[in-house]
Amino acid sequence: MKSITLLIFMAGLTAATLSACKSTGGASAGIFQAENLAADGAMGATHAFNVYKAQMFPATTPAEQFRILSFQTNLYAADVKLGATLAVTETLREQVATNSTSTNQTALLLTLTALEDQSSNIIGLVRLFLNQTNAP
Amino acid sequence: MTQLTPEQIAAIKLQIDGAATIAEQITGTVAPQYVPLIILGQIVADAIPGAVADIQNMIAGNAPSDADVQALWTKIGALGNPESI
Repeated sequence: MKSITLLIFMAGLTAATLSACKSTGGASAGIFQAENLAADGAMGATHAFNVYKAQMFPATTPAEQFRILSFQTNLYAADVKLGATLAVTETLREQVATNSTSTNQTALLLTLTALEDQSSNIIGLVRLFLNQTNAP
Repeated sequence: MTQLTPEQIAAIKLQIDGAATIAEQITGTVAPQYVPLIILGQIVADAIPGAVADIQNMIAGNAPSDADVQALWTKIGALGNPESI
């Protein structure tokens, strides 16, 4: 339910930022904040996992340790992909600021959508992982 | 006092809702019975300031400064090295 709420929020944020973008005729501070929010959300979730792993890993069973390391591989790969998408989005935002052609705006919209999906998925993945944790 | 447009007010409301949701998401990720409370506190304390800063920036409505952009690129770099987060 919380993941759904976040997805709804992110969709709303995109609508608001795109609306603001149209009203100002260029890349807006709202899009920049959406990028920050996506980064902060994913980094918060990753930080939660890192803290959990650092504190709990030594005390868990070998099976749990294997599960933690397997999840870590997937999580870190998702983080790297999000970082790459963020880099593309930020580059496009700067380009739209100087050249707001429809092609650039469409590309920016597409990367924003991908950004939301990736950030929400990372948060959801960490939440799912920790909810399934059965460490003592 | 700065007059906000309806679009800005709507965006701020979404930001506040989003920050609360993210904070809930992050704290909700950890089953309290399994993790010492101090770890939970550390996670929340680290996560909330970022969300608050996002809201403050949204309220200010200013175009991102060079420092803001640099900070975002620092975050992008950190995501490329997630074990450091």
